[in-house]
Amino acid sequence: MELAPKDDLRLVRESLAGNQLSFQLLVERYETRMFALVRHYTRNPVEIEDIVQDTFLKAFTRLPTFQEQSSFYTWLCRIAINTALDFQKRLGRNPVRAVEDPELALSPDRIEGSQPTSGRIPAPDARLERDEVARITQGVLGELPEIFRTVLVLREFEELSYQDIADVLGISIGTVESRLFRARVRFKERLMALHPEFGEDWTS
Amino acid sequence: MEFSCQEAVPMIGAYLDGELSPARAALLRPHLLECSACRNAAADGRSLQRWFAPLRESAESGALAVAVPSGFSARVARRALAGDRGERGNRGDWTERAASAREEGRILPFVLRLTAVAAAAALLFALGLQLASRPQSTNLAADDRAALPLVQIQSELDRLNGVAPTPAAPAPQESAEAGSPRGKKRPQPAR
Repeated sequence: MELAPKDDLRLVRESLAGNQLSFQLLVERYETRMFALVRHYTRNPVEIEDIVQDTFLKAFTRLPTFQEQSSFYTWLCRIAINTALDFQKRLGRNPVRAVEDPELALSPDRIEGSQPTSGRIPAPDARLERDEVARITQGVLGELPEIFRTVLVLREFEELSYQDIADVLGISIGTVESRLFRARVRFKERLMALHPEFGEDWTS
Repeated sequence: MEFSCQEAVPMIGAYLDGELSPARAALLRPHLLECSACRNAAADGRSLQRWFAPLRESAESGALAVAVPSGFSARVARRALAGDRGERGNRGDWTERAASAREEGRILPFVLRLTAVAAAAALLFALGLQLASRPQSTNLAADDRAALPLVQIQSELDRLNGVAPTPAAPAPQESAEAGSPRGKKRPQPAR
């Protein structure tokens, strides 16, 4: 992680001792990244603020259980994602979980996309503005089942290691690898379905 | 090469991410040298990464950058130290929410919510008033009067007319008094 964990640890210890300013500094350090992360689960600014706020409040309550050798940010991501998913459930928007996704139940030799020739993905057109590409990617991500969106966000957006993703999601590294593989295949499919124009000029 | 494309393809992403163990990478590398289809799959993986880099940058400093409401960290830290555990539904600080909503330019949803709360409060207040002004069942009310036993009505009328209560079987003396004309001196209380 690019942020000094030792510094995080000092702020965590001071927060545990009841220092409000130290906790405020911890919140300040990660609030922007938390708002950006939670936006992958809802676009409503009021809901995003509520979820991020609850994330930090829960984190404060659970500070005594924080393992000092782990990353505070990874720990926070786990709380944020669970809070966002609980929020969706409470609003009746049920995110698709692993057991409900039939394609996760396929045997390994029938996994979609395991043939190298099954469609190509182009790089974004150089003529597109950065923000345009970002909006397209965000739109495609938003259409993926939660289980695939989350793993892609943690890897490609948060740039977490497989070990960190495994810690956040409470799964094995092997599951991270296979879920990420399937998520990327799904992303490619949705991208080409939503924007077939990007595939037209592709020659292999 | 015994190593098949079906085995190789699911490993390519982890290879590009630098997350493949040395032993597995040693299996994949020679396959990639020999198999152009799997090399294309690796190129796809790199293309895909180029869709995500702009998303990160845009969220950091571009059109998708998230504006954190001002004073957010101070507000959250204050709540945390005050014992708010982040369980939704125990929010009560409307002034703070109003301030943050105004800052964010979304006063309308806040006003709508506040209006709904005010309307609910007014309704409850009106219901409360109606309940309070409603006669209790022990009071004498127009609707209740007919349900009273005849004897009770009679004694009530007697009392209003300044006459001693009339029992079911009145004594002769009392019945004489009852028959006396109006305007006469009020009788003494029952001895």
